[in-house]
Amino acid sequence: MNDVDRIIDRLVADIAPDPGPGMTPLARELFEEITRAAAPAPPRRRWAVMPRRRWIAGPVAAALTTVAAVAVIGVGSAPASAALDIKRDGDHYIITVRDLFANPDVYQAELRARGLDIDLTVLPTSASNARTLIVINGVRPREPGRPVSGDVKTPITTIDEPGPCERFGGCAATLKVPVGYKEKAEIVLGREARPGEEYMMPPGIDAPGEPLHCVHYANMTVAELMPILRERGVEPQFTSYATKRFESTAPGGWYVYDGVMSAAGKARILVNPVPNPKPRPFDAFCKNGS
Amino acid sequence: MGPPDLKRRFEEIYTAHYAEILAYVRRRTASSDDAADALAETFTTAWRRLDDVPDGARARLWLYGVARRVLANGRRAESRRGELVERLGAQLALWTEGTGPVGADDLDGVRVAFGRLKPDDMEVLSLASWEGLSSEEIATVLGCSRGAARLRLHRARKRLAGELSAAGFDLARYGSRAITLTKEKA
Repeated sequence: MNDVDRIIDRLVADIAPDPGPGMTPLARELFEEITRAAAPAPPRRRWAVMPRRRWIAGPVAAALTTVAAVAVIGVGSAPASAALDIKRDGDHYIITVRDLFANPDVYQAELRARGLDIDLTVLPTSASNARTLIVINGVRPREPGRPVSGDVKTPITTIDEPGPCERFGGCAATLKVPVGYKEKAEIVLGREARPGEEYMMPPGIDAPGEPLHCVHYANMTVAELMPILRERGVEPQFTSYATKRFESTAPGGWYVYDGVMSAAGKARILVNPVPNPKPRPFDAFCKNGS
Repeated sequence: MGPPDLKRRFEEIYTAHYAEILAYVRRRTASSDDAADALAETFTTAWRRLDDVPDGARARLWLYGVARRVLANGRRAESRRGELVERLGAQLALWTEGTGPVGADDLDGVRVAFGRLKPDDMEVLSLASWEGLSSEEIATVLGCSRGAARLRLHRARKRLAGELSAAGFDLARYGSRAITLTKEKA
């Protein structure tokens, strides 16, 4: 290989699209899903009959949290207009959630009244993660096998809060939905948890505003992490790919892969006996590296 | 080998190579849904054909080969995508948003020139530079001879150098012998 070949290879390497989040707990779920089918017989696709579960924000959150069904908090008799603020702006609806504690059925009724097949779920989360708005659109354009080129446009968009945004999932406060939008979509919105309430949209332990923001905790040993958690008033629960349950202690020499806040002052930490060969880039949450 | 052993072996393969296969499919798909779908399909195939998966480092090459065929086949039926794969796609989309826009650097010219190449040239260059494979490993993934892989890689590099030169990209900035090559090509 000559110098020019090296230059070419380096240029190609430089335009390599991002490799993605690597092994996440959701990846672990996929493993279980795949191996549920008997090998080597053709696997049955079981997921179609699985009970529908809520998808939670963040690359790690899903499996570290107990993904429970959304509790229905009293049957709402309040007028629908009390829960959502829906304004029409040209060919779009601008939707803001006014009452974060309303019965989900009330949101639904409001949206259905405008012909929108949108499930809106409000989940408890940390103060800094509250008002995180996630849109799971029913449809996306697909071009298999084509190299990545720019963002994929989706019909439902969000309008960010004014000011700088450090949050992983964006800082949307308001939804913008095309009038007459017929596809199904799911919207998940974070609200601040009540005292003692478990987060159902758990933020990354190092997300902005969370206890380990800008702490290089990935691949620390448990022994190294413990004093940091104590100092910040965080009570950990540990899990690993091997144990698959939560325990209050973990071997001091094991390595930290990831973590989420599961309630105020409580964290769930994923650890393993060997270091993570591909930890998430540190700057995923800590943009300024400080 | 009983079922627990099979599962353990698959777990080793899955854990060792998940991140690499995810990167492979993500880098070659336009949507996170397709990436999630191809990822699941690739590992489902590996589980189904566990006996065919070679040991050690060659498992990765085998998986690349499967992923490549999965992507080449494209989506076959909308109904095949399950709830978990949907969630995985949503997770990847969120990740993509978190990584910021493509093109926040001065390499757009390189991207454009690269995009003008034929898919076969793109693939061989990507395998070398994105996956870091040697020509011997590329031969395994593509199912061709070592010599053929070397030749394809050589030609693809020359064609990219030609595209870059045609677009006025200053290859010389990257090395003194750059211009010589593009002249040789012409």
